Amino acid sequence: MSDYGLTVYNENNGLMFDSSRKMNSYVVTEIGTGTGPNVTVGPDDFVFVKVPYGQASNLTNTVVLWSSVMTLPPTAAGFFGRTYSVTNLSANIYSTTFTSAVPVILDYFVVQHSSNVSSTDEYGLVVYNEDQTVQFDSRSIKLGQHFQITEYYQTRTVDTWSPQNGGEVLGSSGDYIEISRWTRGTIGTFEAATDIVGLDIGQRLAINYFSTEINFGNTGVGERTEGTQTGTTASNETYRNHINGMILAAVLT
Amino acid sequence: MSYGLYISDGINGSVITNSNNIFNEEYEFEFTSQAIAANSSLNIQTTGAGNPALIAIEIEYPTTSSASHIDIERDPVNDILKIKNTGTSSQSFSAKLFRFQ
Repeated sequence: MSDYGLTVYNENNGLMFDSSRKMNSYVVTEIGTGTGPNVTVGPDDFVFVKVPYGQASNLTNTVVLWSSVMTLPPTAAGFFGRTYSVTNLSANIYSTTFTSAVPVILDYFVVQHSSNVSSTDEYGLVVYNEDQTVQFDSRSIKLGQHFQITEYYQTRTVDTWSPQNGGEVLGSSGDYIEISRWTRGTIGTFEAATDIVGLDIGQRLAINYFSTEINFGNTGVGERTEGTQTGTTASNETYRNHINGMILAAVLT
Repeated sequence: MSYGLYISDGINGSVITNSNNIFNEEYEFEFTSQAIAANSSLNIQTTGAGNPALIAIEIEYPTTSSASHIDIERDPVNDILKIKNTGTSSQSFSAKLFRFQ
């Protein structure tokens, strides 16, 4: 460690800033309620969501994912929801039906790399890394709120939900859950297969669902119309038991 | 809490260094498409990582096979992150380290 620069520890001796390391701090850049943020969310950024006040009943059994509509060019990414229902066919054999994805309104906030937030102000505090990259730039603070990570779930450690398994509740009541790094799914009127990795936002459960059931043009049991999936037995629908990505819970402070 | 380093632009501002509300990504520990041989492990020294509960490791797997064969262990005493390939063929992964404390 260098003997120069800025190092800040908290009361628990946890390192918060260290200009000798190659670090990049995150700051809140947008807080809102809607179907997606206005800022362009990059691969390094995080998007946290929760159910808006009074909207819990409208988001019951709704799996939320971060995606964009499959158009050319693709639309900006936003929040989409697919409502699901589960039918118990017989002992431990279930059928899950997902509605088509529709935009959903959520409370959200976005955090981005401090160095990526531009400003023309000529005052403030900038902390540089040894290699002259920016670790923190106070000009990136555009809002009067910061955030606090309340829970962290390492890659592949979350106990996902399935009809057979209750799953692990993420975070605590009132927490925002990050969805841009691990949720995914096709948004459109046609799907060759149903592949959804998303957040049951009402219950704060992670779901990783896949079905190859293909039977176009019919709506009977075990058949699927475009944009809607119906599985019939455990053999053609799979609830994977892990999430390939880390999940964060946070609150605004 | 109202102690710590308060940053303001004259209008907006917030305390940014009180407990547990700094979130940093550390590029020192970033790996992209890192190969790891069969039945071997890679030890990454995360000096100063401190409380492992406040360190996040994001792992990305390019294939389902690599996802099922790469395990992660953390040694908080010696600040070492161990990434193991339990499979019988070479696998690859990408990793980033985040710190929130």
